[in-house]
Amino acid sequence: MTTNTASTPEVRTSRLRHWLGWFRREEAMSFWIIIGFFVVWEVACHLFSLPVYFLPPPSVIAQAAVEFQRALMINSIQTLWTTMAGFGFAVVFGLALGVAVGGSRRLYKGLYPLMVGFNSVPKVALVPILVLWFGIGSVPAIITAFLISFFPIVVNVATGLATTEPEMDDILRALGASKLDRLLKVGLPGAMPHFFGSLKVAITLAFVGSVVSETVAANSGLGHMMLMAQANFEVPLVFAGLLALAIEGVLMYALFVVIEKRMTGWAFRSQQAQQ
Amino acid sequence: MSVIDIEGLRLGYGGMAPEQLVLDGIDLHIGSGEFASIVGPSGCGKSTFMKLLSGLLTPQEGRILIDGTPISGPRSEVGMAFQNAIMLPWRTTLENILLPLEVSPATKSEFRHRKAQYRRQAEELLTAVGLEGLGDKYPWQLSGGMRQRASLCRAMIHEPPLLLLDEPFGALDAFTKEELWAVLQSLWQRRKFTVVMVTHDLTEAAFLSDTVYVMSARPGRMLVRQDISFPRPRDLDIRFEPDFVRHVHDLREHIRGTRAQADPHTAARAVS
Repeated sequence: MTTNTASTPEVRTSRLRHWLGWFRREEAMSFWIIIGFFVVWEVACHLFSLPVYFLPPPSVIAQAAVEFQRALMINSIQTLWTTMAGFGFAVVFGLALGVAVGGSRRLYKGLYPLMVGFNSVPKVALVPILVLWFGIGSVPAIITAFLISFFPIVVNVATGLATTEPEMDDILRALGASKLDRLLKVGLPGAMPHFFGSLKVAITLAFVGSVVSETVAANSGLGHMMLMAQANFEVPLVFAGLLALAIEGVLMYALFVVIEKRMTGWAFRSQQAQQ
Repeated sequence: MSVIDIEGLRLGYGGMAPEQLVLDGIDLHIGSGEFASIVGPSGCGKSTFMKLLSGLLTPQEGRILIDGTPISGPRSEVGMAFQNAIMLPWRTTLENILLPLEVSPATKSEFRHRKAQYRRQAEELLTAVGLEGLGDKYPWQLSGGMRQRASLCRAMIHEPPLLLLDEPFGALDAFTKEELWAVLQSLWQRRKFTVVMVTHDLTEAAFLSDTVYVMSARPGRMLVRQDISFPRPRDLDIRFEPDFVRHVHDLREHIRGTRAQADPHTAARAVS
């Protein structure tokens, strides 16, 4: 019979201490703040005896989330996929247009006012038109997510390309390097920190786009579910929907932070080295 | 080794009116394997002159002949280094140095096949400038002086017959600077390329060059040519010999002359 070291009391206390140590570290700050936020919310609801249809406490919201978990799951997945689809298009077209605009001064000057104009139009105002064209469903949500997250990607890629060091460009041009080579070897890699940085902004905006569209015209998705729940006076479910949205947003944001660090770690390290 | 002949060079930005004129009638002959420096008051068009030599700009009047053929655009036969030793932070030092070979039309097609050979060349250069074994470091892991050494390697990796240096040591501390003068001198002696260097440091110009040209204030003209004929290799202590000091002093006087000339002009412009 082998002795199970994991169950000796000394090992258990040292492991406990290890865990407690983690909770005291800087990284654990966000954990405590989130816990604190919900505790304050819960306490405030009871203290001021707020009615559940006005502001339900987190415990009631959690109950609703368990009760309606199927609906929450289905609609979360629906929102996630329309958001990611729209975001995906935004990445592809944003990168392409960003490179075109960043690579040519003429195109930049010519297209910029139009792009700013497009971006100034509130996207919610476009949803009725999109419904007119494509009917109610996923397509307007995808297009709204695309439209809203497209612009920051274009601007950042173009800016990244425009900030190529002029001396570097001189060296390459004096060597007779082709425009394509200058773009592939210097311009684009140099613009990558801008590009990956913009993805964090774009993904959160994409959620705004798809949910706005779902709230105005859809028959599924978190936005639609929350609208229905509100109409039925299921206020805890409305908040459960909000929470699901927040969780999706945070997870996607975190995903792109990781990707950014992976792809353009040199930018962080070279910045640190210069300080 | 390139021979440079410049005839009646004039260039203006936006036009040839007196206030747009940057270079006004430059005639120059730089011999094969010569080390020539250009000094002058700031804003006299030295950097513009370098852009003309590299083929990035074309003059409105006059022409530049390199080895007898007028230049009409960028050619891969020049190497360039600037005061700011910009390196691509996502590439290692060695990969940065290899960049010219990767993009130059002359070597681009065979780069893949001959990569091993090119890497060896780059490592030899790194050793020559005192960066032995540091090729795998990223630029941000190097000090300013080390980056400038690496940028010299990059300028020379494709063995250009003409090296253009625009204040290459301007941002370095005095000791690093002196070390790099010696490095550059020995590389130049070994490889015998032609060098045109722009600098603000008169000691640097006198120490490294065969000929020093003093440029006038804008619009730039070559005012004085000073030959400096100390034997090579020159030792750093040469700077304290009376003959050397006299050279530097003369250059200083010429520059003061150009500044005095320029002052009423710039003052008038500031008022208007």
